[in-house]
Amino acid sequence: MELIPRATFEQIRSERVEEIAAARRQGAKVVGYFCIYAPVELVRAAGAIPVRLMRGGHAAEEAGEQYLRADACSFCNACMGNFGIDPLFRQVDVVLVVNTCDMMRRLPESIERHFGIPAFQLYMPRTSEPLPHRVAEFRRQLEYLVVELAKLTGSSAGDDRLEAEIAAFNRLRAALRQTSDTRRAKSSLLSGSTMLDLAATAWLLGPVKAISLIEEVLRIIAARPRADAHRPRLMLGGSMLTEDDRWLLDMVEEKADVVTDILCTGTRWFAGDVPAEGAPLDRLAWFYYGQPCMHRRPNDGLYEYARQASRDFRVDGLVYKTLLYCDPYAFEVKRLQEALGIPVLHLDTDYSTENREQVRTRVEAFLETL
Amino acid sequence: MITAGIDVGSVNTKLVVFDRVSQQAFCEKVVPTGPRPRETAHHVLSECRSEHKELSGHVRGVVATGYARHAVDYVEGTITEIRAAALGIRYWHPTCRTVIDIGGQDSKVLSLDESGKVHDFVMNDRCAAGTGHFLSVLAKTLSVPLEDFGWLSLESRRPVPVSSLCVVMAESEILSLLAADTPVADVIAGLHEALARRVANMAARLRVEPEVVFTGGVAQNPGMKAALERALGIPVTVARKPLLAAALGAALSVGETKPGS
Repeated sequence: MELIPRATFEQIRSERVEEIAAARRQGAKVVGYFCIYAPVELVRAAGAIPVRLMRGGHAAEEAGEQYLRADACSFCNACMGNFGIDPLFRQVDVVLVVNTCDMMRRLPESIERHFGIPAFQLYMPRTSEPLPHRVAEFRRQLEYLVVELAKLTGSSAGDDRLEAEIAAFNRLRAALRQTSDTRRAKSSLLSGSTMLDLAATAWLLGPVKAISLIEEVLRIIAARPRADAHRPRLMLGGSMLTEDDRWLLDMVEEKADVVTDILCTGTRWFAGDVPAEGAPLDRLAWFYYGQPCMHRRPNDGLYEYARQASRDFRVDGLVYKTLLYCDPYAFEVKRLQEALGIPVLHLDTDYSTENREQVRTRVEAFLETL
Repeated sequence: MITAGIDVGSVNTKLVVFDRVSQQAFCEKVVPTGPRPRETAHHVLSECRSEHKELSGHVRGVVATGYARHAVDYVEGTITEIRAAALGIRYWHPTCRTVIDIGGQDSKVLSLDESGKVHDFVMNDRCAAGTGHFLSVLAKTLSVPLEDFGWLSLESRRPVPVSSLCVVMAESEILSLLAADTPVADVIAGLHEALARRVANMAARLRVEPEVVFTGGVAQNPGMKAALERALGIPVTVARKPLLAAALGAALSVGETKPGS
């Protein structure tokens, strides 16, 4: 049984979207962002509301094809579609995009052109080497963002306000980490599906409300007896997973436990904390620069992250789901399999539903081999 | 011990009732699945029951496999066609280490360890490119009975290169070839080679170790066996009963699957 019913999460999220819409009518500004490189602390310190735009879906993908090519990445197509149909996307005043893959680099142009929503576009150096001059480059991007956010909201983020937001998001990340870490236990009570809901809700609620929800989940976990564990323990990986990919989690979790992941929409968002020492912008620059992602070079950091997670959570296999045309992630499958030395199931699909039964056969056959 | 396996595939539904002690099959059935897999499966099972009244009370269990395995009621459990094919093929071909299974809706390559367990597998993902459906649609386009398709391909001396594996695009590619007076046998041979290359590329993602056994409906096509041998560069054995291997594997798995799984 789920710790908190899915419908409750959905209710919380839809109420929050209404709340955001109401705040916006009072003049609040909403900044939509996509990836883990977005410095949400700066957005909140400037008085804007950050919301992570992490939805896919077949209807959105199809709708998106009128703006982008049909063979553009499914997520970007779905994003474009969602600006037309999703109630949260429709609240967005500005998008905050960090240059990651080629598609994400070009997406803001299409968003602005077709929906009139401007973008703050940050340049993240492609190298992941901890080179001070590269980090300084990214820090200058953050300075630019501070100025642009002040123009948007009419209030600039003082250091005190920024410190408070850094501390609040560190607490949120720690709470999510603590929840996710309950899955280290022999039998996990927290499903991958609930973890997905928790993350999606946390991005929307902001630190204070999200933490009280997470604490509630932790209380339920502590009170519930654990069953005997005999199911395979799986790690998830690949491109982003959204609520719209839940069918896959449901399919996998009929016969196995998802105990951890290496996703930017999962544990990677809350894996670390913004350091405590130094000027706020310096700390944010080093923190975000240091987040591993497949598109950076070298990307060994993500491999080390995967190896560590695989050991810590005693993982039997990896389910690696890439979105159609998501090359930065699809290209790495073979190397990841060699690096981890565990069985890997690679699924490459868009948001359509046509091949679900074939995927089911592959998932079940994969679990049979474990 | 008598057990039964039912394989509800995209084209045919297959049933095997098998006695592991005497190694004898009491009942083997192949019927078209049609639009209602659940009804077809139940029809096949009840037909077998009425034809073999002597088995009543002796069948230890039934396991279902195939794409519509979850639609079959009153079975002990289900296994995927991947595990089922591995079990069935190893029973007939104990030294098999690679299974190539080309069915109506998908094609797969299985790599088995020494004990016969599936070590790794690859499977085509979404469309009919590189499956039996590809061949049956194009046989219609060429007005050649499917049974003759493989034999005709073997008559060709100069297979023409066919680059499309998409059923729709291959159809238009073939129409251009026919318009240019290309002999039909050469076109058919070209289609077989294209399909074999596709499967060989899939297999290359795994370690292809002998003995390679070819199963699934398309394994009945002698032209495909020859094309696969050329593409892989090693001999290929056609399974003893290509249509029935997965159903046999399901029958052999009775007692191993967890109830309700």
